[in-house]
Amino acid sequence: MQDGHIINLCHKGEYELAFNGIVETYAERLYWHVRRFIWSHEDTDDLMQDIFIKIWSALPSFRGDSQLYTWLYRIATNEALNRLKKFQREFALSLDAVSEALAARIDEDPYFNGDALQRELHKAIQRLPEKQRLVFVMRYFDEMKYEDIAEITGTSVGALKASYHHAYNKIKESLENADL
Amino acid sequence: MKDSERNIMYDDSLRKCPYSVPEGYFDSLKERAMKYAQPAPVFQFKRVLYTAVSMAAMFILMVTAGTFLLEKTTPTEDLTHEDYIVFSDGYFDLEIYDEDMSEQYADASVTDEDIMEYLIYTGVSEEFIELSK
Repeated sequence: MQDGHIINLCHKGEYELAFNGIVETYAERLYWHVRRFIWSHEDTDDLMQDIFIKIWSALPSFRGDSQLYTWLYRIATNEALNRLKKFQREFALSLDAVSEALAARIDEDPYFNGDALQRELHKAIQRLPEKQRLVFVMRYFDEMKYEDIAEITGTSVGALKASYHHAYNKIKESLENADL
Repeated sequence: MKDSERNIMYDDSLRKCPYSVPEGYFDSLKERAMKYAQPAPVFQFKRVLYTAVSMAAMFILMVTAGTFLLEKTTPTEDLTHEDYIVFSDGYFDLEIYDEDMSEQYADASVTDEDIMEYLIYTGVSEEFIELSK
């Protein structure tokens, strides 16, 4: 279903049809977007339920001021970040420790099918600071425009470009130092 | 090409997702997600306004009724202590307090000798009694 059609359904108050259209069109994309932050399939699946509930609750308030997909990605990104913060609080870990813990889970993940370099790449991404990780994932994997990322994160395009540049250099250094 | 020579910026294979999901997962995900589409309470301004006005009206009614009842039960004229005494079952007869109290005790038929005997009985020495006269 096209975004325009979904937005029209929202404006008409046909939220159930609009929500079904969102699920059909975006479920898989949102899943992979979240998976790059959460890394575990089970945790991602659990979070997706929360995300869809949040989308359903917020649908009546969606006015179409922003693009539908940036609105959806914003919800999904915020929920993923909140889950990571909750993980940090529950285990009283520092952000670095959380990143290391999640990076280690990549080795244990039965659904990881990449080669050694991909494994190191994803571990390196996991060790990035939150903002750099966000922009790198959306730019490198989802190939989003900086303007769209800015809409999702609420950060300026200039700051995003700088963050991406820092993230790339860190990952490059990490891969060069990795024992492959 | 060796892994170490690949440039992550230009190698499309690195952009490929290395993760997989269980078979049929996305169909299951969509099916479960669509169950969340239950009718949600939509904010209705009129309903909120009606509720607020009803509560305000009820409050005003309660205050008005309370004030009315209070005025009805509160005496309007100035009361004196005599009015209160009427409701005291006669325990406090003002006439008693108006009289000379000595006459009351005089009628009790208690002599000085009786008083002396009582004091001695309670252990007060005769010398002390003499001194206090």
